Amino acid sequence: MTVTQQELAERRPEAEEIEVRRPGDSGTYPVNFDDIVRSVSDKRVLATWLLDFYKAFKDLYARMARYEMILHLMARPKVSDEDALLLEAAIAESKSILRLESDFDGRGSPHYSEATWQRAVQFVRLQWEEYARLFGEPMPLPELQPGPHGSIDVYWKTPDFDLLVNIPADPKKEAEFSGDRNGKRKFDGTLDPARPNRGLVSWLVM
Amino acid sequence: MAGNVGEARPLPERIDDREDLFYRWVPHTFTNSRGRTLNAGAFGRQENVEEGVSFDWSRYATPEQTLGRSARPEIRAGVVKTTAGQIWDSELKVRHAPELDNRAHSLVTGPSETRVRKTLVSICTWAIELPTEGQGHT
Repeated sequence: MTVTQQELAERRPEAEEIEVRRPGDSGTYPVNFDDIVRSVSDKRVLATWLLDFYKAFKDLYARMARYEMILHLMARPKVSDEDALLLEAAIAESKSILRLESDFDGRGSPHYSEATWQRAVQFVRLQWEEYARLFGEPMPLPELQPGPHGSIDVYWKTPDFDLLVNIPADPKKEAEFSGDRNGKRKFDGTLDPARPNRGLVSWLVM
Repeated sequence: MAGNVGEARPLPERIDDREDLFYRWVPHTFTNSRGRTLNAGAFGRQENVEEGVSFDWSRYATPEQTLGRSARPEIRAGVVKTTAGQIWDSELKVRHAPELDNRAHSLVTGPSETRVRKTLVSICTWAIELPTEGQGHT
């Protein structure tokens, strides 16, 4: 849509009265739209207004950042040390996967690398933190299990749902997942295991 | 050598009976620490070799034969089973894929590898349970 010069000239903002400071004067004075139009021809007035606007914007930004920090502290997850210990215990128990040697299954499966296990652990920690941040309670704990071809399975099994996430041995590949709630609401796809996944952790509670 | 009648690969057959059973050898490493619950790792396919998860069809195999086919008999292992009906009801597929040395060989496939493995965990039960630690099947 094109706006003509005449339309621009006739335009008036809805809130016409604001207060401004004049150069060399700390007081503020109400101005209306026509005052502003007259003043923009004076470069000193215009520069003062721009500086005031910049200072006010900086103040507002600093105040918003402080409020955001306070809100973040207030919303800190209510997860106990005991919950965190349970997570650490599950992770520590899963480390036995690394003791499996190549061909441990008689089908030529390779052994599990420390790097793959670390990626699986990082994935679980990230989702655990995201879950606690979003819902303020500890995430149901999955099991870390040996998967096929040197991959590691992260498996949640509860009365309400089960979800399998496969962390591949190849770090360039995405993790594949499949879940459902007692055969319904199937949830399949791939994800980046190096990031918290809001969709995945939300699915765990819905 | 191909062409020798005695070594010809058997032709695949149609699976159409819901009650037909399918067996798979499972080593103890793919069960939980109590050795009773299956892990999804029990149903990995052989990468770049198989297009699905290998099972033995009950038309040509017994659970004992499936157990005996292991390349590493010293590994503590059991055999799990499921039926064609359970496979189909779970939106998976099964087809007969006979091999030269295993006429019972069949493949279970589905929409994704994790979907197939997760589903098989829920529809398979033990045909031959794991022996307790320190014991083997004789």
